[in-house]
Amino acid sequence: MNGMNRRRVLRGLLDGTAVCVALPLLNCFLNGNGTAMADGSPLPVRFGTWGWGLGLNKAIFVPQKTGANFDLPEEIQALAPIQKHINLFTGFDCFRDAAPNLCHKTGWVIARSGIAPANQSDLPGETIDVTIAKKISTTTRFQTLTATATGNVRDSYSYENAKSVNIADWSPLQFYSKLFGEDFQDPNLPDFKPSARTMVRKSVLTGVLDRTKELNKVVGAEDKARIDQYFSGLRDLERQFDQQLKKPEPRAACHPAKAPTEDAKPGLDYELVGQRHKMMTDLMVMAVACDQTRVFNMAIAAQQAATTKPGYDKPHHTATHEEPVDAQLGYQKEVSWFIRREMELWAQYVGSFAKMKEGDGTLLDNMLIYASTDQSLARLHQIDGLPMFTAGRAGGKLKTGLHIAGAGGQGTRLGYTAMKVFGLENTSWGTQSNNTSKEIGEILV
Amino acid sequence: MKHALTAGFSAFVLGAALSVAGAASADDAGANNVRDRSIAYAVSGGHWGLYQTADGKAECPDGINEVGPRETFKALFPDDGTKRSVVETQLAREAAIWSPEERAYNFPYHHAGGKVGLGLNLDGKVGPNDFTSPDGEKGIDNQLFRALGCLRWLRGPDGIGYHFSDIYMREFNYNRGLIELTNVDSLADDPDVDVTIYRGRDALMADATGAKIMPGGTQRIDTKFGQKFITHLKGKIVNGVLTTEPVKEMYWPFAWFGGNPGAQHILDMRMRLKLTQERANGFIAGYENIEEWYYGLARGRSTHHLAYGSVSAPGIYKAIHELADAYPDASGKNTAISMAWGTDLTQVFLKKPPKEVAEAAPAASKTERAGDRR
Repeated sequence: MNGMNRRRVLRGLLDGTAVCVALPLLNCFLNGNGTAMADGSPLPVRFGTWGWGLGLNKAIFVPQKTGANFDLPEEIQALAPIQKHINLFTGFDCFRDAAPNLCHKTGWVIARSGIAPANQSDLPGETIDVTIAKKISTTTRFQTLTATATGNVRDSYSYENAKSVNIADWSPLQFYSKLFGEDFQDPNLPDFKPSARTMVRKSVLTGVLDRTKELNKVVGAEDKARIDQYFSGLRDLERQFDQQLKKPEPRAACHPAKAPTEDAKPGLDYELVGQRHKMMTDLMVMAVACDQTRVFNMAIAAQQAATTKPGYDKPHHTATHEEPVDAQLGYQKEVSWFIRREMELWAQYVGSFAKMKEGDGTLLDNMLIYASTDQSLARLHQIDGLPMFTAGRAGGKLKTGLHIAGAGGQGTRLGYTAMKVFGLENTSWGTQSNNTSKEIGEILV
Repeated sequence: MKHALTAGFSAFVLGAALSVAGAASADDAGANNVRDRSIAYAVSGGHWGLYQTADGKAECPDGINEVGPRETFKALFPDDGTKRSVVETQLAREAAIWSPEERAYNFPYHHAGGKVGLGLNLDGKVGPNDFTSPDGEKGIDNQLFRALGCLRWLRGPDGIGYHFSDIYMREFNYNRGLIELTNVDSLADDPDVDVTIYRGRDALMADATGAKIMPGGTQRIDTKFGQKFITHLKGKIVNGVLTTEPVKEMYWPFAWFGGNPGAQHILDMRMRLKLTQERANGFIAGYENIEEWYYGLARGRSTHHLAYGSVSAPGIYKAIHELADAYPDASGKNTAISMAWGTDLTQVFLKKPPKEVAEAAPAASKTERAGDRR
C-alpha cells in the first residue's frame, strides 16, 4: 500500500456533522492488476441471496433455448440488462418424500436448507446462507445481514433453526444506523482509534463471561451445557466487539452515502416496495463494499406474497388463486404482472452490485448471489420445476449468462454447487431424495 | 362422444373400464396383492363426481358462476360513501353463510345442465332429471352435480377446490378411508365378496415427489375413534368392477381445510369401483342430507377460500334446496340430494387386531333397496 487515502482529504465536518464525499475508485489499495489486495491476499468473495414470491408462469418464463444467449420470454424480459451477469435454472425439482406439501413453505425451505419441513412450525436444518457464513463471514462485523423490501420484519428466507429465524431489517433508516451509525468504523481511515464505547461494552461482557467460567466449576455437566448454550450468543457479541477493536482492512469501494432523511412509506403497493427495495439494496451494496459482512440476504416479497398492484383489488397471492386463467393468453394476466415486477427488481438488485467497481471489475464479479422462490406455479402450489437464479462470477469461479434446464433433477444441486464454490468440505447436501453430491458443472469454470 | 376433460379424475374412466374384459391392468404386471382371499385399498384422492367438457358449454350453458363473496359484497355494499358498520356488512355476510336463508339470496347462480353426468343410478329408474353416463348408462342420479358443476372452484384439473381436494385426501391422515374386500376368489369376476369400510391411521406411502402414492403401504385400523366408519357391505365383481349393494347409511372420513375431522354421511350408499391389484377408483354414491352437507361446506371452507373460486355459499344453499330429490319430510319437501363422490384408492396391507375389530364392528348392516328410503 502506498499510504494514500482519499478519506484523509475529503472527510471533514460541516456544521459539526461528519460528511463524506465519494471518490472514484482508486486502485491504491489493490495490487497492480486490481485482482487482489495490495498485500497479495485475494479479494473477498461474498455470498448473497434474493427471494421472490410465487414463482412463474412456465410458458412465458422458461426460455426455449438452453446454454448461452438464451431467449427472454415476456415474463423475464426485464432481465435483458443483467442477462450476462446471471444464470437461470429451470426444471429443477424439490422432493418432499413423505412430508406434506406445505403451501408456500416446502419449496423454498427445501431449496435453501436441503430438507423438507415436516409441518408448518418446522424449519429443518439451517439455510444455505448460514452454512456458508460460518465458512466465509467469520471476520466481519456482521456474520450475515438480512433485509426485506416488504417493510415486515418477519419476511425472511434465512434461519439458523426453527427457533432462530434471522429476522429482516425492514427500515432503511434503521438499517443505515445499524450499518453506518456510531459503531461503524470506516476501513479507509488513515488512523484507527478503537471506540471507547465498544471497549466499555467489551469489558463488561468479558466480566460476565469470566463469571460463567467460575459458574461452570460448580455445576454439573448438564447445566454446563445449558450455560454454554445460553452464553453462545454473548460470545458472538464478544467476537464482534473484538473485530471492532481491531483496525479493519481498507476497502477501496467503501464510501457510505449520507443517511436517508426519511424512511420508506409503509405499504405493499409495488411502487412502495420498489422504493424500499432500492433503498435497502443501496445500503446492502455499501455494507458489502465496506466489508461489514460477506453474506447477505434480501427478500422482495414474502413467500405467499401479499404485494399489491395499484387499482387491482387482490394482492399477489390472492390473485394466484382467484384470478381466472385468461383463455386467450393461457395464464393469469394479473399474476404475471406481479412476477414481471419482481423480475424488474431482481434486475435492479443485480445491477446495483454490477455497477459498484471493485478492483479491475465489479463487486458482482466477486460474489455469488443465489435467488429462489416458494412455488413454481403458485396457483397449484407446485414445487416441481422451481425456478432459481445465480448472479455473479464468484471471483472467477463461475460462468454466467447461461440457462440450465434441470430435467427434473434435484434443485439442491445448486445450493451444493454454491457450497463447493465457497470451499465447504461437506461431500453432500440435503436429506432423503434431496440429498446430492453432484454439482451443476455447466456453470463452473 | 363429446370429449370429456378427464385429467386427474380417474373416476371418470370407470365407464370405459367397464367394457374392458379381464380387468388386469398394466400396473398389475407381476403383482398379486390378494392375500388370504383379501385385498385392501386406502384413499389417495377424491373429487365430487362432476362431469365437465373442455369448454364447459355443454354442462354450463349459462356460463360459469362468477358471483362469489367478493362480488356479492361489492354489490350489496357499494363504495358510495355510505357509512356502514362491520356488523351490518362483513359480519352480516358471514352470518349469511352460516345461517343462510334460501329466499334471501337473489344473485344469479347457474345450475349445471346437459344430458351427461357422472355417478350411479340410485333408484333403478330413468327419470326426467336423470343423466346419462359418458358410456351410455341411463338413469344417473346426481343432482349435486347440478348444484356444483358450474363452479370454477371445483372444475378440474386446476380449480383450486379440485386441486386441494386431492391434496387433502392424500395428506390429511383423517381422510384415510379404507376399503377391504374379503372372500375374494378373483379380482376379475366374483359373484359374492364382502366389503368392509374402515378409517386407517397411517400416512400413505409416497414416491419422492410426495404426490404419487405407492401401493404396498401398511395401514392400522382406527377401532377407537373410527367406530362410526366401520361398515359392511356385500358386493360382486364383474369384469374387474366391484359393485356393492346399497347400505342404509355410511360415514366416510372427510376432513377439509385445516384437517378438521368430519365425515360425509351418505344415505342409501353404494360403491362401484374399478379394481386392479394396485389401484381402485370409481364412485361412492347415495344421498346426503342437504343441511348436513351444507354445514360441512361452511365448516370446511372459510369465506377467504370460497372466494378463490367465486363460490357463493348462500347460492349453493339455495341450489341444493331447489335440487334436493330424496327423503321428503312431512311437508313433502325433499331433505336429501343425490350425489357421487369420485374416489381414488391405492392398495395397502391392513394391520388389524382381529379380536378388537370383531368386537368393534357392528353387526352387518341390513341392506335395503335404494327406493325403500325415498
